Amino acid sequence: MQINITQHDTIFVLAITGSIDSLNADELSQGFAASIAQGHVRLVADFSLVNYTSSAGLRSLLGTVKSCRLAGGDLRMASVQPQVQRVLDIAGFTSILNIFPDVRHAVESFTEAA
Amino acid sequence: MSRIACTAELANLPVLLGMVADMCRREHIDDATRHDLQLIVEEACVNVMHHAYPGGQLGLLALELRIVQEDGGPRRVVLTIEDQGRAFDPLSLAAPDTTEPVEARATGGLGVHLIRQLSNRQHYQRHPRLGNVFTIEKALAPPAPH
Repeated sequence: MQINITQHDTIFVLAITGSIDSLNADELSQGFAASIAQGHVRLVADFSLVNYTSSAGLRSLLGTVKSCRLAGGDLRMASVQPQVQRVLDIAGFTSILNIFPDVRHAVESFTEAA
Repeated sequence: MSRIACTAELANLPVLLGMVADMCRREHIDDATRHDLQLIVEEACVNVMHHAYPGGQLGLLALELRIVQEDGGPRRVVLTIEDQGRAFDPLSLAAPDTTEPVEARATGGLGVHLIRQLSNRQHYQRHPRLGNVFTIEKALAPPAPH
């Protein structure tokens, strides 16, 4: 798994590549936590290149979305692929996460709300 | 039939998932089913790695994969995960409430919930010699015509 971070004004976009599993989910949590620690709590997770996530990845997403919202921000998802979407659906995460068709829409959703 | 016995530690997860990938290649199993089988194996094996043995103690985990087909019936994969740790029935875990709001949402039991939803049958037995035996079955779609 790789994480590539870009900044769009006050919004951090974390583009993740590969599989999120029990071996690397902590790395993902740390990537999110590092952004939050710098005061960036409006995050977009670009999942266009994520083909797999286990419950370890779901735990990382849940912990991050809770931290962001407590600090007045949010973690929003973009370009979730069908197999990952199905796992999010089964876990009931599609009702708690804001999911957008692509990064542009996810980024713009923050400015619309502001 | 394929079988691996190894120590129940996270470092062995790639080997276990590799065995699933090999079987899927060999049996021409489609990508969507391979995805589900890998997720099932990760969740079941990681539960053993995290919870079966007391902290600091390394015990064994065995994973067996079989393709079964009774006359005329659909092919299915039978996965068996064995460990000799403390007796624990993963199917005794209550399903998480997937409708709760984010602040109340717990993540315990999510792995077993995924296993239940992505497979067709699950069975747990505490065996006198083998220890915990968790069996999961998943039906396979008929192979695509060539």
